Amino acid sequence: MGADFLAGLDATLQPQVLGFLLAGVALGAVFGALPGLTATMGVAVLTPLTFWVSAEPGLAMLLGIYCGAIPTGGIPAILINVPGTPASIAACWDGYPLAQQGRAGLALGVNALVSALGQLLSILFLAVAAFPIASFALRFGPSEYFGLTLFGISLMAGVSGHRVIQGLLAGMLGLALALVGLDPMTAYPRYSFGLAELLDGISFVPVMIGLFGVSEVLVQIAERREARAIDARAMGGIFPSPSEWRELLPAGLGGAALGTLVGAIPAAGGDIGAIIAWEQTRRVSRDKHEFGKGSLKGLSASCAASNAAIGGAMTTMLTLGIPGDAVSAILIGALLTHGLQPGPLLFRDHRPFVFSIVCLLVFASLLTMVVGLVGARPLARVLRLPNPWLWAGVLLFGTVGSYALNNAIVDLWAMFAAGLVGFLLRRADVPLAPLVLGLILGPMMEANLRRALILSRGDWISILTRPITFFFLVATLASLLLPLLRRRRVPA
Amino acid sequence: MSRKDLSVGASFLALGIALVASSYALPAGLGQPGPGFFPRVIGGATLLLSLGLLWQARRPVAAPSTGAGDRKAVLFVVGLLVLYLLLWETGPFAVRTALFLLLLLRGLGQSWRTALVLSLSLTAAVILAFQVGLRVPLG
Repeated sequence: MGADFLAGLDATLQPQVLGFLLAGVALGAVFGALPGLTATMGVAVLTPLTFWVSAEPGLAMLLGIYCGAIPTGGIPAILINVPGTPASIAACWDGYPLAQQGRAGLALGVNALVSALGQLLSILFLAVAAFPIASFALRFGPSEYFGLTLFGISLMAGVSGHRVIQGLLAGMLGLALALVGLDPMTAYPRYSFGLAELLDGISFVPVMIGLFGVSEVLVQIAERREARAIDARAMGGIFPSPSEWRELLPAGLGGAALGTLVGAIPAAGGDIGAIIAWEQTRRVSRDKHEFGKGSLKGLSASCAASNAAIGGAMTTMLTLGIPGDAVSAILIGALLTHGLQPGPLLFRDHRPFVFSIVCLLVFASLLTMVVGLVGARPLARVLRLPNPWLWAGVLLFGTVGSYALNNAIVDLWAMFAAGLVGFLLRRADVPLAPLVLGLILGPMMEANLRRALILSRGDWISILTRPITFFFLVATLASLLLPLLRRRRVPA
Repeated sequence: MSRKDLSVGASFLALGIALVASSYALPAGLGQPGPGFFPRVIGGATLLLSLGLLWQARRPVAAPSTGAGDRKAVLFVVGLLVLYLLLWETGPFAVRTALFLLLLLRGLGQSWRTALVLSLSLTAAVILAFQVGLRVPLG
């Protein structure tokens, strides 16, 4: 283990890897600070750039963007009440009131420091929990994997908010898209319409660029979102005083714990984690009435949770091969392109690489903290860029990036179609996260069920009654029924 | 009645029917589920869920509609993007990309001067990143 860790650390400390990490954090900071751009969009659009280098520098850049974008998403949330990324929605609630009170500097400082705390604690969770989870998952056979993926897919209902049926339908669309290509067991072509380019299935990365890049641009154009003026008044000091630390630290620690747990749930990311953490902290606080009016506790809990979701999501993605959120879904695609299959085998066959990921995340968090503290004021100026400039950049880099993957025109059309479908779904208030779950987990579920059926000679009962599979089936039923029961209790 | 849910339900109903119908054209498995099994299951679930959504959509909606938005601008961007993709292998990449960006930025309300400077800068940046840096042949 020690030698593997040192090998991972050595791989991380290579100048090329550190250079890519630094570039990733810088790019992530810009993607996070600009309300028109998100962490998911940044990772999706820039993933193709990483396929021309080896896995470590490529992943260093993507993890840098991921870790860099989430905290800096809090900057516009605090300064102009517009979240830079969905994960920073809850940061608006107390961050903006703090800025209105002339304490913008303190809010930005808390955002940078507590975000780093959330990220580092969740990475600690990843480092401690991932190996036991992965070694447990090594016992999984096809039937257990079928149960696990079925459970993952059933979470579509949970992540769809109050639009459960719409979310499940989006998930079905993801599952349907995953059918395109050769049948996983018999290699019979399905829904490829005679096109040789579709025999390998629909390219994942262009679809992600379309869903999270192109569709976001179209939604913003449709809603005529304009850049907003920034209040350039004095921001005040950045560092919290000891008494302020005493106030915000417990909330930050609680937020980090909740954010890590929510992040570990497939497809539930920092946005949900931050909202839950803010609400739970408010519920247990004596000064409930301060929340939403500039509470340091509220800001601390939400910033810590949105960032802690990173470690949680990475734990699920690396150990089980199941995306913890939309960004980790794209990271799965990136790892697969580098010939690395996320899941328990990664921990058995590529241990130094796993440690390298942990080290990269730690460095990225520390770098992001420095960027958040030193770069908050310059990044605030970037907010003045007109939206059409950003839209043009995203469309151009998204298009060229999609093409560059395989030099295939079919990928360009996949990106375009995904962008248009994503736009129409979002305009119809259909959540997109379940679509990504379906697209990633569909092939895994089908292949494992059919493998399990071959091994059991078609005996369904023996598959479904295996202890771990049975546990996942019960969890699946619970995750499908709970949101429906909640809806009955709370009329829309 | 929710028009959004109605149109989503109807579109997914069509997808469900298409999946179930097409699944019967795929070969059956020999004693095990074959290539048509999952399309049938997914199609069936899509059918049921879309019928549920259509049923739900008949109820009156309290929330006001978000409106159509700037439809013209979206159609302009989508049309321009389609044209850019259709002409992907026609002419030098730099020329068609700069032209695409120029029209895009102008159409989105930027002045000719800003649109020209930005389109040339973005084209240069993407060529530097992909063609020079990563050696991707862009034409």
